[in-house]
Amino acid sequence: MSPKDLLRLSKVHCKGSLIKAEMILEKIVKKRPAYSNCDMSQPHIMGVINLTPDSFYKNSRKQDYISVEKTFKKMINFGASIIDIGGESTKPGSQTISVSEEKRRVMRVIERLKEKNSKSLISLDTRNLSTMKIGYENKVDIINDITGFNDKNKINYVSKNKIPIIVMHMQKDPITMQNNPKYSFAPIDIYKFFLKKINELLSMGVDSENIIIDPGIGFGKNKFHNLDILRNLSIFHSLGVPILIGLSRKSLIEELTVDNYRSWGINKKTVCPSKRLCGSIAFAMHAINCGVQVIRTHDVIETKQAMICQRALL
Amino acid sequence: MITVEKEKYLFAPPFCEDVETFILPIPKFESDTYNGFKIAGGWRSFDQLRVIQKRGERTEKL
Repeated sequence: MSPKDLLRLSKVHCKGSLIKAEMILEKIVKKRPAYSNCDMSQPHIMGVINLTPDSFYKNSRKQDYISVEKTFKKMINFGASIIDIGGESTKPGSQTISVSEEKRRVMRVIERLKEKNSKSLISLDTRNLSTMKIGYENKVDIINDITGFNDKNKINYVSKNKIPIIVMHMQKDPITMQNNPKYSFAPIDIYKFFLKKINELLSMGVDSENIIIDPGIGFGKNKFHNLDILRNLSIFHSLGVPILIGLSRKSLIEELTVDNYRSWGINKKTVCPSKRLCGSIAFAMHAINCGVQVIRTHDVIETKQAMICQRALL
Repeated sequence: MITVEKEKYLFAPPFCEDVETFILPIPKFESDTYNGFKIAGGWRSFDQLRVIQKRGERTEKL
């Protein structure tokens, strides 16, 4: 159906329906304003650094400042627009750590990185308000919350300080999220979650240009839910804000690969995160083809190279 | 009172109390679109939409 057909059909039946159709088309088409100085009419890469001993991908774990700085510089030099730094693993089944431990892991590192790289954008991946506060005091540019800002105090804080945010969708919490997650149709359920959440954020004073949404692949979703989301990714453009997606080395790639092995009679039950790069790139390119503005990845160089090659075809 | 009718392809009116309609632009290269629009003012364009509708428990995809 063409946009013209949708408008014609809406108009025939009632005025309210036409207005709604026009509003949605306007949101899809509207140029997104710059987000934290990033031009949202181009795709961006967000590199991941985990200051944790237990994140699911071993190579993303950094324990000392020297290796963090080396990785940080490499990611920025090879094309990452934002570096996402977190101190708590939120892989399925992971236990929460204390806020003081999280702060201990991230704060000194962020402070030093910001001293030396004041122009590079740093996103702090945390679900704790007090970590958000200390991060912002140490000049973090963006706050990325896997709980989707589930607490009014967090919303008030980012609203008051005009902090750009990333709002992720997750069903339940990291300990229980993969215990039989249920949706009527995941893309629609998640779309409705964001519609409600964006309205809540706007009503509490958050600027729409400071909001990015992340459907949270692998966070309270099974293989079929994740694939439904990826097949219908462009539904989220109707929300009128930029989209971020994290697919890097996720277990979805393992599940699909193992299924394929099984169909070939190969008895291999695991594909460890270090062997999931190609699947990550394939999914990242699909997301960019759907117009997703930010790709969160452990593999900046490889993702950037794929983007350059794809860009050359436009 | 609005009456919902089943048109050739979808429930109409598409946006009313009885029908939920979700719109997905079908991303293409700009050169492959006819009178297309850019998605979010970015690098992908569309001239066709995929429509998902929910009426009660029934979901229709066009």
